[in-house]
Amino acid sequence: MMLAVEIQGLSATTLTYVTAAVAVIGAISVYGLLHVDRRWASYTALLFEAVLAALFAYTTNIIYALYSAPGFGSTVEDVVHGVTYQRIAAGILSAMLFLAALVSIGYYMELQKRGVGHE
Amino acid sequence: MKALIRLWELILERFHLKEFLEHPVPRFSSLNPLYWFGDVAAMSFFILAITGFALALLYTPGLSLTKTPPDPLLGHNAKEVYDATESYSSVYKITYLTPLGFILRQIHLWSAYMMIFATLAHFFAKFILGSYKRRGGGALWLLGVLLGVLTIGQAVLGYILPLHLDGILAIQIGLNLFRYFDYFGIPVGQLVLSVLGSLFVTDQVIKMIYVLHILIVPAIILVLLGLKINGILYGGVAPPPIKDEELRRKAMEEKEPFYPHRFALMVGQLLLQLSVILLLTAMTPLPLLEPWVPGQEVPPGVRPPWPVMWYYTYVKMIDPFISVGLPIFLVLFAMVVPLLDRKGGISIEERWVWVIIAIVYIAIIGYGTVLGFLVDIPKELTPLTRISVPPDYAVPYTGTPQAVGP
Amino acid sequence: MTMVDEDRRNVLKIFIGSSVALSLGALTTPLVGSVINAKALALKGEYSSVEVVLCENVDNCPEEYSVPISELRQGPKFVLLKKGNMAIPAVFGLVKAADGKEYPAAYNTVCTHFGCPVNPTGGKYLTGFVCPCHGSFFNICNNPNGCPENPDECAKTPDKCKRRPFLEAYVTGGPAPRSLRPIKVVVKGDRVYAVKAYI
Repeated sequence: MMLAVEIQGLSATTLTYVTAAVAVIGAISVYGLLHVDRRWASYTALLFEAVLAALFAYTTNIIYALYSAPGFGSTVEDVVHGVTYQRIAAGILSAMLFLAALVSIGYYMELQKRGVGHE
Repeated sequence: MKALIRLWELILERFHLKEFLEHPVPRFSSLNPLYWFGDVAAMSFFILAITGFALALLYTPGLSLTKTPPDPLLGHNAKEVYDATESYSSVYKITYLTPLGFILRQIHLWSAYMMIFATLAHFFAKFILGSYKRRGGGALWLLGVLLGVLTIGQAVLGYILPLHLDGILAIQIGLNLFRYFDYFGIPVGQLVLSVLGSLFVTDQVIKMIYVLHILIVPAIILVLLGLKINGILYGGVAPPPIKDEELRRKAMEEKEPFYPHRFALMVGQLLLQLSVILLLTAMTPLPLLEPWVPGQEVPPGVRPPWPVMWYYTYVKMIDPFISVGLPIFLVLFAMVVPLLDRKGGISIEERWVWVIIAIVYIAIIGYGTVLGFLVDIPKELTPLTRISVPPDYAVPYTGTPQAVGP
Repeated sequence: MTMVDEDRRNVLKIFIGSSVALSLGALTTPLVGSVINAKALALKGEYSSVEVVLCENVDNCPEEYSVPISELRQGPKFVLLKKGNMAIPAVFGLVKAADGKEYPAAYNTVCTHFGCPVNPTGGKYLTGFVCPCHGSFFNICNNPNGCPENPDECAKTPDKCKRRPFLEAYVTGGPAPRSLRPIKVVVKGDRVYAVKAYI
């Protein structure tokens, strides 16, 4: 007998669009603010990181629930579902790291502009 | 906040970290892309070490037969169940039946590809810069060539471990490739046999590959990498390839402290790199290829992964007696480059011959790679395909044939 | 000052000397042992292949090295011959000769080009092999008098021309430099036994 594993929560498509929207808006606003004021860019990045972290926790929850469901793995559809959600989780992590990288490199650029030499 | 800052400063002071962290580094090397790839390769190595540790806990090497469902990323018929080896089914479990295992394996694969790409790019960048011409640069260059060879070796070993079809072919090719030296009286086949015990994949061979991949080669890489980082830390980076000595000295003298300047850039680079790896994971995940067990028919048209595609192309185009040694020649020549390129300055105008040689290196590897992906190479492509008649080394059919039946 | 330098140098000498001696000893002992072991496998240097004797005598040859002839009539059969740590992939099959008789034969299926496992061709009878990796073709000589290497030459001087031995799996296309390594088989009762292999 095959147990049908049902996912309760947002569908993969919805989650992908939400992630993409948050990531793109976050990246554009942080990049834009870096030209104005690094402090404000950092705060904005922190805000978007929090949103993405919540999304990541939500997706990971779904993944763990899916993989620990009784009968998981008896059909290939289950595995495909698992892979889809894991890909979304990877995308969310990617966006989080990208925002952090933007801030870090922005900080370096600002140090360059300030011209604080060692000598 | 103030207490935290005080604590941080106390740590820096009491552990004598200030001396290291605030050592001056030249500013031009932060801004020139030719100086970035080494960092990318080294960071990839540490990402690989961490994900590899987690993967090693979950992986079981072995050839015993198991049943495995098909790889969903390859779009197989969902109803089928395949014969597979224990190695394959354990990788299948990691990839498809473990929460977050998919991400773990994809990070490992993509950072391995990134490390190889960065290693090649780093090699060409330093070739063009002529970084071996500075004091201590030759030693670093030698270490770099060795590290490059080890990196490719590590990639091949890791590619074998899941024992998918291409992995088995890789190990079979690896065990038999250099037996061409048998013709010249160097008993490579017997050496492999005495070390690994078999010229065909067995449990012992796969265990040996596993130990090499997770312990021995990474340990050697770590030691060599430590030596290299030490050399750069105390010897400095390569000077910029400018002819004007005044300008060059000025660029070398314009310094900034490692912390926080370069440190912020390195953290940003690491985060960006991880972000790219995860984006690749999300957008183009790499499938676990199809399984194979000894005795099964091998489908035609198998191709190697991109890091060795160029070699595959040349071996198919050119007689094996010539093409098998091509990478050995490329590596040996790369090793003696610092001995040959000694005269003259370090600028690109003065070293144009060597810049052309570097471009030839890129062209050999790039042309082979692109050609391998673009065309299905015919067996007789060039007049070079069969120029040397192989010596009469074949074992004649032994024994007295006995007829059976009618 | 010189004393200190001398001491330092001496310590370094002792350290390097002892570690070199230790590592040489540690490295050579197993290496020499294993090379001697490999020699014990009865090498034939001239073929640059290693000869592996599976059974000295057919009468006490284990069943795992054999295939029933009735099974070979269905088509070629793969057997992984295991001896000690070694595994030899072998394909057994019946070759339909030009004289109309059926001859059992076996080959090591490691391609002589780069070592990929080759696939048998010919359906029920074994006629040859094809390598999936780089497209080498091997054809099994089915003429009991041998197959001419150069048919035109043999047409002119049938006695002098070079001939490939009967049942040899010689190269007809692709990059492989030489014939597939054979496995010597002996028929006993209704089974075919592999007694000697080249790897």
